[in-house]
Amino acid sequence: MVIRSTRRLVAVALVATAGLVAGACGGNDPSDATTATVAPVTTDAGSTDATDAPDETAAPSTAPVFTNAPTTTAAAEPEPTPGGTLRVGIEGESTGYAPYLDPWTNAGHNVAKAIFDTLAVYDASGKVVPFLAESITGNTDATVWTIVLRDGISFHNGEPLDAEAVRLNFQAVLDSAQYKDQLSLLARMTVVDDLTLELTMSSPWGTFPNTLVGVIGTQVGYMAAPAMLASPEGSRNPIGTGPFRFVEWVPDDRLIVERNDDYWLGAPYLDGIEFRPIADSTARKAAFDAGDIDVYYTGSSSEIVEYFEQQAAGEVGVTIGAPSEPDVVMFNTANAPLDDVRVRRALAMSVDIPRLYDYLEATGVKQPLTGPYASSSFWFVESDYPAYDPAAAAALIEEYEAEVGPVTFEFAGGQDPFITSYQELFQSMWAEIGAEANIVSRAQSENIDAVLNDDFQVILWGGIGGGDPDADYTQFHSGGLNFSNFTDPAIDAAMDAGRALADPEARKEQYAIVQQILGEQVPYIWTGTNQFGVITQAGVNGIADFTLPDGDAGQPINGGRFYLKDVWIAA
Amino acid sequence: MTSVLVSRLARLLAVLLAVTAASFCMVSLLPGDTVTAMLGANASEEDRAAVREELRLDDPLPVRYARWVGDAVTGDLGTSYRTRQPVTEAIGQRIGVTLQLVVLSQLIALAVAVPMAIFGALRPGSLLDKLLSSTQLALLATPGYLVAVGLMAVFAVQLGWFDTTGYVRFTENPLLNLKSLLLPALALAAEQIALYARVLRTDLVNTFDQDFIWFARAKGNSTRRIVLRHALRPSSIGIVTLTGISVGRMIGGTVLVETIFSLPGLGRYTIDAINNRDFMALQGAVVVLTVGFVLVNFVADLLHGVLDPRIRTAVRPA
Repeated sequence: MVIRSTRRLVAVALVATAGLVAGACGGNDPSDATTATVAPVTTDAGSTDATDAPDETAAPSTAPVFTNAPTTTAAAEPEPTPGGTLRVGIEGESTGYAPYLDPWTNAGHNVAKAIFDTLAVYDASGKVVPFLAESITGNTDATVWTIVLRDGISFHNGEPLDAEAVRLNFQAVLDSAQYKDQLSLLARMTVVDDLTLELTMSSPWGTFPNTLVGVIGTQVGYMAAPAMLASPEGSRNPIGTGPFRFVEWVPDDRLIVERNDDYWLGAPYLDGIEFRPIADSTARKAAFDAGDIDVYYTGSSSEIVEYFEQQAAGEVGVTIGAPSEPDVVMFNTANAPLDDVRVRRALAMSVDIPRLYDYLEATGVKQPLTGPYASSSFWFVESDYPAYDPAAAAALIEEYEAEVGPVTFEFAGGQDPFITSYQELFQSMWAEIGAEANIVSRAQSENIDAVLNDDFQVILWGGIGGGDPDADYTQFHSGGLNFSNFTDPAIDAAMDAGRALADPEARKEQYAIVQQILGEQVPYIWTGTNQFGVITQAGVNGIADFTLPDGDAGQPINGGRFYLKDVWIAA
Repeated sequence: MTSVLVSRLARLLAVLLAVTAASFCMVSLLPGDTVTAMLGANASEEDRAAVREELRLDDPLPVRYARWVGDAVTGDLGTSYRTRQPVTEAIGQRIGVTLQLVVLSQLIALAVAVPMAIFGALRPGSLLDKLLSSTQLALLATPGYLVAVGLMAVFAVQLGWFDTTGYVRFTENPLLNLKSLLLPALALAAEQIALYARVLRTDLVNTFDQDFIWFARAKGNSTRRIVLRHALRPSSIGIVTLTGISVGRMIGGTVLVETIFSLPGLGRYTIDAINNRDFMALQGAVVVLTVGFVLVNFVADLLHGVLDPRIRTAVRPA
């Protein structure tokens, strides 16, 4: 547990750093320090819960599933055309492609998702569903998990994907000094039969299936061929079960894959993909604008908005990914006047979200929130989070001032002038209801120190929500890293219960309690989601598609990571 | 000549030892350590100790350095801690790109700077001289990043004459290879053009004022002949020296250019090694860069002798 807490601390620091900068400025790159999207447990093969999926899942080829933003240009697409090589600009190079050895950024994951498959993926609602696995089943107290694999899947070198192969992959992780923490609760593995692996945990692990989806910091779910695991050169010669086979890698120049005609879900449309690492973001955009690459992705809202105009002219496609960690304004609820819920609600009620998005050039990209999870998330429930109502907010401030005194506080943010101007926007909105915010501009590290030392009143923050609620355990539970100092015994109980349950619906009930309380008590103002956009040249189709084995829609874009198996280029 | 070569080789070895030793020390003084870079901050003490033992990182620095030198003389520059790729192999894959880039940029810089300097020096203070001088100042004042991005925006994005990124190997297609390197080389050459032109112009102006040039003019030689036959050679010592020194600076500049134009060169390898505390990769890169720097300056010294017989006489052993 000490290790997990430490990791969380580091993650929070990283995310907070990103939140302080990116969250408040036009960049808006969501941090990848924590899981980007919700991910509960699945115990039934391909059992996507249709009632949870948004309507867009009915038309996956035309809709960016998680957004009300403009959609990809593929709306009028004809029948997919096989052939062609897709050139994908990625933001950096990886040290190698061994899931158990090489730490991947989005760039590495995007290459990996072409070559490898994971045991589980997200469905359209952000729920974890089996992928290479037929089922992933936990016992009642989530101490024993059984993975049953789909029959007939082979690696690119012909080796079968069986229970022993999965065991070897997990063992490689356990043998890896870098990554063994990811399976720290795994006590024993038993190969039951060719397709069944039983995993015994040292303590309840309700969120284990989340580990089997490939996201930043978690690569356990990618399955590599046993021959690759055994080879010292495996990292540079990846062998998976994915839709494309590895061909060639020239570090810092290109990585080439070709179609896997024997892919277990049917051969992909593309002949191949050339991944080009372009580290400089300006150069990456220039390469796209010049037509030297067909696809790239960006976390910059203003950049995405810029491409919306070209999309309207049919020149490019813009597909928005699932929301990740939101931007928040965090209150220190142990500190007057923020210890009074009337003040917190008033401050939230006076924030005009569209004005914020205009400033951030993020209109149409960011989504308003009423809690830690976007309305498209499996975990989302309605709450009593206050709506925009400056008149009511002013009344609450007046009531507080009559009883206690003036509402004055420090509002901290980064040193970038862009962030300071963003803070001034809040300041003016709060001034309109009679609250006085004094802006404090500090280096990111100083802000993080201030939060860790409980030396703040109101601050621009990030790294809360967006993913599986259990990832927010230390933020919402009393003690630990609960920086807002807002605690409630009911929240503690719900967070504890959610952690020990395997059934997603049962977990959701617990996290609904948490959301209701947070909505009423407002320890945070949720200012909006962060999303990546995948930009494609005209003629590139299917980027918003990711079809699951049962034909349902999966989540095509998560953070800056996406799938290319259903992509095709118009002839 | 042989003794000069022997002397130079001895100096090269001394420089190599000094630079690699200094690099070893400096990297060890940097905050953070290799094990953390490899395993992450949350690795257990046992794992960290195992890796330190495996890599023998707990040995005293001089011992580690001596071991590294022992391997290096056999051609084994070790294995990258980060990528697990032999450093010699990685450098072999990248050195050609950087060499091509540096050579091409030098050729461009000299091809542009020499005429600029001559035209400016022929009529010092003229409108043309002032115009050329202002251009050089602008090139010197413009950050390399802006030059690179600007060239890309104009010639690749707007005009579409070049690709924005990507490298074509010479063995694949020599013409496309040249095309893929031209913009990056131009970006790298921009500052050098200004430096070379300013140094050569000043030297030429001084040379034009020498008696032998007046004699040549009095004999009725054409300006073209005076410049090319009489003035350019004695005025070139400064620019040759500067070229030798500049190569070292350009190697640093390749980091930026290789990053912007996505070229798989040694510059990016070096900066990745520094960022990731990859001792072995960094040491290998330092050796190659040092050898390159010393060799280029060795050639520059030899050229001094060709350009000025007095220098040739001075270096000849008594």
